[in-house]
Amino acid sequence: MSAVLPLGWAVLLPVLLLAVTWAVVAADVLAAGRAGGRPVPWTVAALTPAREALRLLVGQRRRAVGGDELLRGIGGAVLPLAALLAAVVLPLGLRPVADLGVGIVWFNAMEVFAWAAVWLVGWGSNSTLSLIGGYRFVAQGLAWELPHMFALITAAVGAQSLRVTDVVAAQQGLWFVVIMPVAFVAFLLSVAAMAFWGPFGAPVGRDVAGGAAAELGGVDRLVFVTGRWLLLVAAAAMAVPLFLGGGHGPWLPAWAWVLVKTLAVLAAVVALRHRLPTIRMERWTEFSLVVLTPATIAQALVVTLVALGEGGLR
Amino acid sequence: MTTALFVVLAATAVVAGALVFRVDSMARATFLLLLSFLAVAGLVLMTGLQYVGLVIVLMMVIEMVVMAVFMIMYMMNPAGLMSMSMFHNTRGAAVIAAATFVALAGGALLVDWPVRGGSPAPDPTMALGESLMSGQMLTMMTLGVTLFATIVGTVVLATGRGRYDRLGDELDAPASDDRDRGGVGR
Amino acid sequence: MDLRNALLRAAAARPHVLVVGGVGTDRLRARVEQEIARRRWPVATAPADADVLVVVGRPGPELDPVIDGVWAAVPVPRSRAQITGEDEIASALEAAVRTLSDLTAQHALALRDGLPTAHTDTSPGEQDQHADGHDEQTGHDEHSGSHHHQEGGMELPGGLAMADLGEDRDGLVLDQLHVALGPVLPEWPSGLVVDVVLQGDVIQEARSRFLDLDLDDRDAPECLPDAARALDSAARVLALVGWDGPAARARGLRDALLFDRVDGSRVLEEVDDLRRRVRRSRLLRWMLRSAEAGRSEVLETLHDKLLSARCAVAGAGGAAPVAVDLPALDSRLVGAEFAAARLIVAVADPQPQPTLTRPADRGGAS
Repeated sequence: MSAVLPLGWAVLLPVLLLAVTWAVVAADVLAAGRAGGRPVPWTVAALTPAREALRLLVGQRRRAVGGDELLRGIGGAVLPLAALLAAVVLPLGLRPVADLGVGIVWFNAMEVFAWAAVWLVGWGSNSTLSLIGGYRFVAQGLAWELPHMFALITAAVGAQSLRVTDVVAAQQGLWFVVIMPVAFVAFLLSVAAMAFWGPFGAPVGRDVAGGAAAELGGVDRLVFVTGRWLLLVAAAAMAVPLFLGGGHGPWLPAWAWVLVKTLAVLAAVVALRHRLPTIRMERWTEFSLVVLTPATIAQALVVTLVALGEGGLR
Repeated sequence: MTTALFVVLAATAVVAGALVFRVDSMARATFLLLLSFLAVAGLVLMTGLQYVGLVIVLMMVIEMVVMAVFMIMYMMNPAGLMSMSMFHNTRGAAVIAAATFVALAGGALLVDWPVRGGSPAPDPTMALGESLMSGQMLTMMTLGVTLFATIVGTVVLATGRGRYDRLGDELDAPASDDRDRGGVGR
Repeated sequence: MDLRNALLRAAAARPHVLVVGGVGTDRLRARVEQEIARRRWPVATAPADADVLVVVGRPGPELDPVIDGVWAAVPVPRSRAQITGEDEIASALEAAVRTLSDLTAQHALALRDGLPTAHTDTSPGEQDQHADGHDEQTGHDEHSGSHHHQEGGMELPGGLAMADLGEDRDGLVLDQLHVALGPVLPEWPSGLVVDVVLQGDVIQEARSRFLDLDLDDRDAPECLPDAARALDSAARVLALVGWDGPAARARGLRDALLFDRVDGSRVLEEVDDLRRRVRRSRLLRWMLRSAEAGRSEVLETLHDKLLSARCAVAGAGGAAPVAVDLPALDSRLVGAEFAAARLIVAVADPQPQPTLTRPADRGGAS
């Protein structure tokens, strides 16, 4: 059994991600209906992603008057691309599409393109509200990136490898979430923040009339919104190999465990989202830098000491 | 194949780097510079240094976005509504650039290239880590602390309102008088 | 052709609606919003996000050009409805959806608006999916003459003034931008416009006004009863802090009070439930509290609004909401960053009061 999936999976990966995204969007519609006191039948919710996508496909694209079409287009396209490329190292089962030796760094480097993407879309639209949205995401990014990196590093230290499959293999007995709960929580927070979604949705918030996306119409909006959901799905799916034991588990085959765990993480995130208001930047930045970053560093230190105590570096 | 990839990446790095000085918009200049850096990161990846290459990608994306924010904040003509020039001191710059180019190209052409001794480590990332954390430990620690001290020093010098302004000379005010409050409440 | 029609019909099944109303249309607007929520149609965040533009009431001469500008920014396929009475709502919305899903109607609209459709279709691959990419309209930019397509030149597009320089709160000299906020923004009081000077997203100067205030032919503007108004304003605040569930509930309660003859005790129970949730949310408290006296008020005013709504429902006749006049609003906005400013406006919920308006030195709309 080779460490990598056959090449055909590279084509299947976007399809899988989109399917999960569909399910998550539908679940989000259901949860929103329930939270708003106007429940949506699940048949309607299941069709909503398709209806919205069709509506945007049929819709006219909008030119940003006096804006930078080129930069806006690049920004919009980079968002889904970054999510797909980040997902390349996700083990679907026990094997990923690409088993890079520095898979964790690859994941981090790809998702960080969202910084550039959102800012470019906000800038290229030539509208005050869009630009405020773009800047909000950069401010938010500066706050979540450090705890996020330390959470990733903690998982890598626990497995003593940057290879995602090694991290999964190291969790055969004990899931990392047990020995590094702080890193897990920090990672989940940064998942939502990275996808500027839920409590971290200020960059596309209602107060700035859709923020970075305010001027997008038609297929541009579809690509942007899809990219955002794909980022959320890819990042949430990454929590499974890093902290939740990947494909390990009794009875079911590895791929089924990965799917079940991914959906469970996403369900938890969606359920939480509708209970929480949006977090404002100035609050989050200070909390993230003063509380979360030291906490994740301490977590990394503890895990390092445990790893050293268990027989030192391999 | 490898040669073609090298040529494409190298040409992208150079052309994008040169275009930085041709465009009017600060945003375009910044992201052309980013493109140039990404092509360099691709070249580094081609040498087999996966970790270093990806860290270049990671850091450059973040750095360029942050740089764009600052450049646009301070620049007169951020969006390129009117044509502007990115050149200053053109004559001096041309002399320096030409001299640097001649020195580097001359060095590359004239110096005898050493013959490779030894073989690459099986895992360059591991080798890099071992080198940094054993032989070069003192260098890295000194560097790290110096950089961190520089950052802290710059912030302290640049900040308009330090903690004594916010919390009083004895630092004993129950809460600061900031207009916008942070998340921890200090 | 059939495929296009089928696609249009499917796409029109869940249109995003942008509701625009002038001063004094709150009651009708609430009724429209209730009908939209009943159909589970989303409310658009911006013109670019909208399919249907619903104009509530009869816009005056200042609001009218603004609405035309908004209409120009709504992507095709689109439709527009004018609603002046409660009995028209259902039929107008249905007609709007019919227009939205009808190819010939879209063509007729495009012709009427003189829409330069050709250069909106940038990629040929999308041509067959676009309702507007029809041959008979290509390349007729000349007689469109619509104001939103002027580009280039020294005058900035969109009528924005060129940025000038000023000191920011840290003493740096940075760009200032003059922007008019409103009257078409999500969760924004009807007919309000605030002309602001922005530096980054910090407001440096603010001057608010109502559009079309001194129209003689306007009847006494319909006002919401106190409880409904308090709930409406609370719903805006909750929606602005991104708490959509409670915001929708507050709006549903407002509608129940206004239009449905429902059991008062049930509404009371739900208002209490909402108050409990708002009071208990630590995250909300964390988000809204502030050291500065002027702005910790957001949370307290939100509590007060819910309390006064409760009193009014219970028949105890709670204290009437304190009216905020525009100069007071302006002074509160100065120095606030954008998100805070939106909350300040939503909480203040200024109502047009002829005695409090300034002399007739107002400029044109937006």
